[in-house]
Amino acid sequence: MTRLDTATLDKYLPDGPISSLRRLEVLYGAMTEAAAGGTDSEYGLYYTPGELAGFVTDADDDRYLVTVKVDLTGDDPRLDAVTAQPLQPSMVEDLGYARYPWGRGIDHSITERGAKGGSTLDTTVRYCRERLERWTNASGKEPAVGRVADEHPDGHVIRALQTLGSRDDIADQIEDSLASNFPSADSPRVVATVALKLDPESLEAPPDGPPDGDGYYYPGQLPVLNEGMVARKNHKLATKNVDSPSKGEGTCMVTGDRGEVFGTAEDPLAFFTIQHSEKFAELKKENAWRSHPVSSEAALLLQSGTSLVDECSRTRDGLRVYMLPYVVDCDAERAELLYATVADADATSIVTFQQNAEQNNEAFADALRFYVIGVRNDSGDINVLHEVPNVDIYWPREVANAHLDVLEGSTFDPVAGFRRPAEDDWRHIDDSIGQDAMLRAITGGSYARDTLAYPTADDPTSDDPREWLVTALLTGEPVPVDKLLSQYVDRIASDTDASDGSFPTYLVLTQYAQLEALARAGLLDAPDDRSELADTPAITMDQTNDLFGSNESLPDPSDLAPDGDVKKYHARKYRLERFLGERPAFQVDDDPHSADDSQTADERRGAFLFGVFLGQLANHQSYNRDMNRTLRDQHPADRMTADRIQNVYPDLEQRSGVYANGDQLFPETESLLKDAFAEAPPSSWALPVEDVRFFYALGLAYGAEARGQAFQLMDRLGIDYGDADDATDSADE
Amino acid sequence: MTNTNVGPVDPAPDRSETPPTLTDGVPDSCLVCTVGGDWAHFRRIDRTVTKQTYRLPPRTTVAGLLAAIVGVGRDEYYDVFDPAVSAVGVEVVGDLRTTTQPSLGVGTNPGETFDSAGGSGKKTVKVRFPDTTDNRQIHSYEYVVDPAYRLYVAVEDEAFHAALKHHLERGTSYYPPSLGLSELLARVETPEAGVEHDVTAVAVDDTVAVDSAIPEAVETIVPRAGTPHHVERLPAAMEADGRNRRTTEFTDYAFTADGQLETTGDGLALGDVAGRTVAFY
Repeated sequence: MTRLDTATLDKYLPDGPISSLRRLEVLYGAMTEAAAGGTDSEYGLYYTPGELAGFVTDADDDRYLVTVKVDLTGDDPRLDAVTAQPLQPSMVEDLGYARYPWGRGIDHSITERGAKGGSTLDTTVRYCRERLERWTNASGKEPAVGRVADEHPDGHVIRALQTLGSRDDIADQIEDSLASNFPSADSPRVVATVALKLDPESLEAPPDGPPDGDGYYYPGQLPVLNEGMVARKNHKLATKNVDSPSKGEGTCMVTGDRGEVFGTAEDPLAFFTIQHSEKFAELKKENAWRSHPVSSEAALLLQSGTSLVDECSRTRDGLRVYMLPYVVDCDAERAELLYATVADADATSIVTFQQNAEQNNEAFADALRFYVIGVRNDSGDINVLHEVPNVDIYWPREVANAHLDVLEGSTFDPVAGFRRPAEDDWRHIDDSIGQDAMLRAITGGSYARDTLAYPTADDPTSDDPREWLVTALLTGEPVPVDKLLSQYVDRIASDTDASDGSFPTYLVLTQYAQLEALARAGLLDAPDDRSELADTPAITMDQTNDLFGSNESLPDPSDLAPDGDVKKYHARKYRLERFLGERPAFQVDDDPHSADDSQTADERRGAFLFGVFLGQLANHQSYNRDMNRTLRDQHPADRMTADRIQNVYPDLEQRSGVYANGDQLFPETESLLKDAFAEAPPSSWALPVEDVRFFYALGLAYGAEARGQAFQLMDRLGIDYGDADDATDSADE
Repeated sequence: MTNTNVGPVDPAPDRSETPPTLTDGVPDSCLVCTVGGDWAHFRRIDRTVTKQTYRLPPRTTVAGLLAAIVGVGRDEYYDVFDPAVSAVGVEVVGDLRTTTQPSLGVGTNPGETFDSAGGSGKKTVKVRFPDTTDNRQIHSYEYVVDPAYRLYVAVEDEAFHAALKHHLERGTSYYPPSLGLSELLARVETPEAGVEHDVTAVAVDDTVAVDSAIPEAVETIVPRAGTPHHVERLPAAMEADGRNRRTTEFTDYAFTADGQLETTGDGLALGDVAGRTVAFY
């Protein structure tokens, strides 16, 4: 399956570990060069034949090579003819094409690529004239080529072209000659070049290969024209955006080799430009090579690697995200596997790359790492929002598995928890989600993006709060729980619309699943006085849905009501108590050594139960009393505070009494809530407001589902719950 | 630079101190101090657009920081820190977390952003000044938060060694040391057990756990699942070049904020300093 040329890899692979983004990009450049096949030419790195891909003819395309044929065998250079012929792929090598990719400049090679949109006869004539006049420095605009013309032993060839290019009537001559055989009135894509008829004996450096049938040599065959191309290219490495060339004798930051280094070499991601020097004294533009020394070979490989780097990126949410696979210790064999991993992936994602690699070679897959960079590029201002050089699949897998454990456990089942939405309803918790989808969501960023606050549009775009969680999930960096909760609450507020009575239940459930998953994975970082938040919930696992098999998590009816006579009220009570009991966040800690810790858990329990109560009441208002504006709409999560809970509580109790004709509508909740408030009255709470708000919101979600889930549980236990009106239920008390 | 000091400024110049000697890159003694601060910014040389920071101070930065303590002029200390005659170990003891802050900058380049007011400048006064109401640009800077690094330093240069030791012992410095940018001042602390410590070379049988960052041989690290370590390629040595300077060496460093890194030790100059294993470079 060898696809890469081994000799090319040996020549260009970075010597030593892949220890920086630049070295990684050079690795990609080496793979690109090796994939293009071996070339013996010393100019191989400079050539960019791939850039002509859209300009060679296949079948009936209008794509032409326009050749200015110059005869140098006489005393004076003579324009022989200007021909146009379909550009065959086999011709490309002889053209010695080296593209200059920026702006309106001309290409490095004398061979010039025309506009992608096609070129008219007039434009083509201009290209041809520029080959002779501008590229050769006849007009004084290309001093680098001019130096080759003056100093190279075969410089007379370029000087002859200068002579020709300087003639006033040259454009007319070209047009006269070209007009008759220019393809059509439409604008075909053209590549313009110059071919020379000369006596090989007149050259110090002989041509590479035989001339064509008419005795003409093409630019790639003639060393002096190649030298002109190299000179121009190297000149650009030192002169981008500076007046005097920035180059000198130094140590290349990529290869570590001593030699000529250039200061304005481009990097594929454009993170370095010399215009941005304002904070650093004495960083003068012409001294860029001192602080940013790049050898020509490294600069060329960086450029070769650009398209492969781009292929490993995609855009999400206005953010360009690069996910570049690599191995730290990359020899030719691993470069082959790496190239296969990238080239065979039809979609760009860490998961796809990893799976590809695992199919190919286990040991290689183990060593695989990803360099992940998120870049926002607003009107040319490049901001790196996150950069993680050493992502491996370990932490995303840990988090994915923890999340799936939460979904499989009693957080999401009728025994104690929530209902999982149907397939396609809410992607991170719906009942179709599997490990592959979770891994993609985590590595691709949607797992973080779907639960955190939206960035404010008018903020400076140097920071996006969501990217911080993306990074943490990739690296296994602990997540500060308060920051997370406050982000959760902001998002709940954005997604709540009180005017139409909507509440983002599935959002809250996703957030809670994420919170539990992070705790399970050991990635939550809670303050010392509220450490219970980071404790792993003891949720019941390994539940099987086999009706006739054993089901560890299912209770016995006698657990719900001692006499076995299970009422709806019993089911709700059992569920709520079990939900609270399985979670350290709500647990009154009986351990005398950490007695102080229990206070915040009590308060959180109160906030949650208050939410449950209010949610149940709101549900009752909307389904049993057909009310439009429910209590839930009046008390959105982002405005809830301990004081407000204190103030609203008597009103809820009173309403419950009225709705139940003097009784309690939801005695199980009301009694637990009363106990919680007795332990920790809201007026004395010290719980941070985001903690109160999030668990209040979770309570709302729990309360809204309490009735339906209780019926589910009774169904599961084979208990007939008869008529589903819970108003009569309270008489059980 | 206006500094006219061309040599180390020793507060007690008559004192004699024996500088360390290096054997295969391992010194027989070293000076130990911890530099820390609220924020640090060691600008990555391959970035200018977003100002990102290395997480570990480059060896050249460490040299500059110590030269500031000693009071040596710019371009005057590069020979002292030539890896052939000096050894530096860096241990991460603080956080490696980074944060990005936008900051508003006013250009101070007279050629680009200066304004002028007043007369013609010939017979009447003309004032040129940076117009701070205009020409402001927002740029993002990335900082290491709560950074702290323990430095193990051995230089064979006697004068520099004596001056550095004396400054560290007295808690003084000639210039204020900073962590990358002048506004990010560094706290310098020294061990209670003293500034100078003996170093004994460490021989490796199988693998060894190293407390400091590991230079050069980053591929010798034995990886552990779930605890990725950082690798950065940093400038390591400089030389003066006319009125300027240039980097002569780049070195890869591997490091972690979570304790030790396990390595096979191949190609490393390992020394034991008061029970801690340090990789010198």
